[in-house]
Amino acid sequence: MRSHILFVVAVGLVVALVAPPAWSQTKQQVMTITATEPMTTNNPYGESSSPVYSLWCHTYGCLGRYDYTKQQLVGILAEKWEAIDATTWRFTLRKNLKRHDGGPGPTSADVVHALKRIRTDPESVQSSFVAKVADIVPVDDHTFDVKTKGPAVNLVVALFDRFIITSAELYAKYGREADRKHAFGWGPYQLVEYQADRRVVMRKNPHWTEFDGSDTKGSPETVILQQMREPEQRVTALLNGEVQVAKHIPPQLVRRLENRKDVKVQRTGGIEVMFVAFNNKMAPWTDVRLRKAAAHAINRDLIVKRLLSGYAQVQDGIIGPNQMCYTGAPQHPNSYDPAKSKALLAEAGFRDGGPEIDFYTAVGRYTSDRQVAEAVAQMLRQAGFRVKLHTPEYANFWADVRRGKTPLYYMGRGTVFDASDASGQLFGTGGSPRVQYSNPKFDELLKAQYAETDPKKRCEIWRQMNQILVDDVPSHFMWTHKLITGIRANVDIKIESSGEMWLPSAKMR
Amino acid sequence: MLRAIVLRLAGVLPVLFLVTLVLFILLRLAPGDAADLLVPDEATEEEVARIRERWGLDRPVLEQYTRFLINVVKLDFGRSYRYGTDVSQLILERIPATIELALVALTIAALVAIPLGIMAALRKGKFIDSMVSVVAITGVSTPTFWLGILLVLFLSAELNLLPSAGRLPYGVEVPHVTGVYLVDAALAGRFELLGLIASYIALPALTLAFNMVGIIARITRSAIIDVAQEEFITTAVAKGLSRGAIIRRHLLPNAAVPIVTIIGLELGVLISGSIIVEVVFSWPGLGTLLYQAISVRDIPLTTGIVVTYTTLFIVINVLIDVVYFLIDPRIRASQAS
Repeated sequence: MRSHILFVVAVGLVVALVAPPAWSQTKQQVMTITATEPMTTNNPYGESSSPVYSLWCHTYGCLGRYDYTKQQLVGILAEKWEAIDATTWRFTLRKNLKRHDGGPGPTSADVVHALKRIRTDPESVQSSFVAKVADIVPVDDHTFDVKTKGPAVNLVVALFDRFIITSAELYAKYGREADRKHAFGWGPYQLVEYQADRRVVMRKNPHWTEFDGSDTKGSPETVILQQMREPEQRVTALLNGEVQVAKHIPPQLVRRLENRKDVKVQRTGGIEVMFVAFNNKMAPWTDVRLRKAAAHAINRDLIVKRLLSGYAQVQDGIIGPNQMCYTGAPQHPNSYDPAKSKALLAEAGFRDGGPEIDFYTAVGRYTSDRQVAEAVAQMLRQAGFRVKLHTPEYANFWADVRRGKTPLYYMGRGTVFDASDASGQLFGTGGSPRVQYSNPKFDELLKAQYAETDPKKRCEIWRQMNQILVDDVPSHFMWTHKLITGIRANVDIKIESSGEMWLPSAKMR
Repeated sequence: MLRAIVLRLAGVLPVLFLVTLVLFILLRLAPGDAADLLVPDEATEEEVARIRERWGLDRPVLEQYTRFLINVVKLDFGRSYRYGTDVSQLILERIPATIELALVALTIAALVAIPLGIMAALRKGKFIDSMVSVVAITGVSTPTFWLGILLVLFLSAELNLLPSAGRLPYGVEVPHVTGVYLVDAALAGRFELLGLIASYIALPALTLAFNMVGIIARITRSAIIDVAQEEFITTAVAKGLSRGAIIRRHLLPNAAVPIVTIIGLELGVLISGSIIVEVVFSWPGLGTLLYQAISVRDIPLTTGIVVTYTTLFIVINVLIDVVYFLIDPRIRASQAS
């Protein structure tokens, strides 16, 4: 009897070890992608983050997206767009689309409805990005004008992948229930299931055609966005086949993915700009010499090499190589120069040791944020600053930063492709209390670039703005992280600098 | 007995009132603004003000608390700031997952720990007793999040024996009765799903169980040692009863009270203490929900979950009292007199 039991157990163990387990068997054309950002509401206007906009662009549809590889705007629901004058953009919607439930394609009425929802839906948190829009005026059923309150040359880029268009007809009929039970849009994928903060499931829209006519054969039939906040878990799920795409792999876990035949690693230059911010109205950071002294004390290349395993690109200024209007590195950047740092401290009156400063960082919010902040604090101490490092919980940290109560902090600003709005908020006079910087010349240039329609001239204005930010050091720019994505070997998919991907162009073999 | 249960349950109300008051004060005193955390980076101050107004965060604190208390009496915790849906609905959706995890973990722990404790007691001072002590200390000292990640690395990543996250893969549906998948699958006769469900719950349950094995084993060992010294045990041995019979008929029943006590306490601790394990394994239970709620200062949701935990803890303690009554004739006799 005992030997019989042992035999059964032994066979069971062999089967368990040899046979592919149920969770890792690749279902035909099902692509599971890990998600880390909150997905808390099926209201397409109830949340604001790149992954959420990407989800709704794929399902309901948005005007278009930016193809970072081809460096051009690509329409999703829009087929044409042009500036009519300094305050008017005209968009034309595609006419060959059908709603997922067989209803009519998107119309100008749906666009007007979308703007209304963004502005008046009690759950909407997206009204800030349409703040410059005065009104949307239909020209005909498929053409509409977006009228801005002032010149806004960046409007197309700002709106393109964030303006989610939903059906006015369905909302009129079902109200908020339309989002829950009748989530029909025009995008390449139909929303099938939405479990807040757990899982979102989309199914391929068989009637979808790409804007440029490219082939969508081989793209996944079903896409699952699976919430997995722990990086270790994402890597494990990728390795054992539970997921096909694992996003945001931290540098220290890349080694586990390398030299494997079943998995490949994609590295993409990101556009989340990391910086050490000074509150320019709080001592001692009111003195530009001390801001420069701190900047020169930080060895960014060493931190990138040692702590981030090379997975970041150092940049000076708010615009880097992956962003719009990058025309090259600014002049006389604030590079690592400890001697200069000490000289500036001495010039500012701190010959025998620098001022006492409080330095804050979030923990677990950005890649290796605490470790980076510890290294920066150490470098500042070596220069002579007397640093006290604080690592408050993110909720506390963010509340104080927003209110301008934090004198010095390490932080990032995500998805900065066109830096207009981010720059205005952070460095424009009266933009927000976070940095409290004010420079009339910078303000003047910021206003001018909004109105400049010639790309070359606009980029020249940005070059000057970037130079001001380097010279005045209201914040010391550190780097943009390289996005590391693990992908199963039988999947071909391109991760853009925004961290998102266009699913119709993905291929599963 | 019934009277005792009713009195115990009546005591829940003042406890819950105190819990809500303390929680409300703590959450209000904690730094961080819920409105700030609900809007994106680029939100304007007007947008923040609108969110604050929407959730009544701009009202005086006393007014907020009064309104909240009135709703709680009606068992209405309001709507979650983060999810925008009824707190009660969110809790009801997630609670079965937490209960299932707790029960499976406790079952594993009890099945391992009680025999270990008995063995250690009967071989007191010997090698097995020392080994059980080592296991106990290791279990209590090991941080759950570390153990969880280690189990994921070894059992999931290296050996691919178990999945690393979630409760069930997409496409697998369990007919809903209680929300506890193992029970629902069995009730629906879908026995083929039991293995798959067990594979998903195994890692988080093992992580939680490891911590409890030590505690339960040690309590079992102490309780058995105490009872083994009684004269009736000596009599049973003298009568020639087998070891198994002595353990089953005399030792365990008389040692049951402290063992049941610790199991009951551990169940209460498990339900509220599995937050980290749920987050590590993306287990969709109350713990993950509470973690999200606290991180964005979602006061209604945080309060609702903590009140739920408190109520469950009290109910479990009442159930333990009922179990005492059923298993120990001395308690029945003292109640009767």
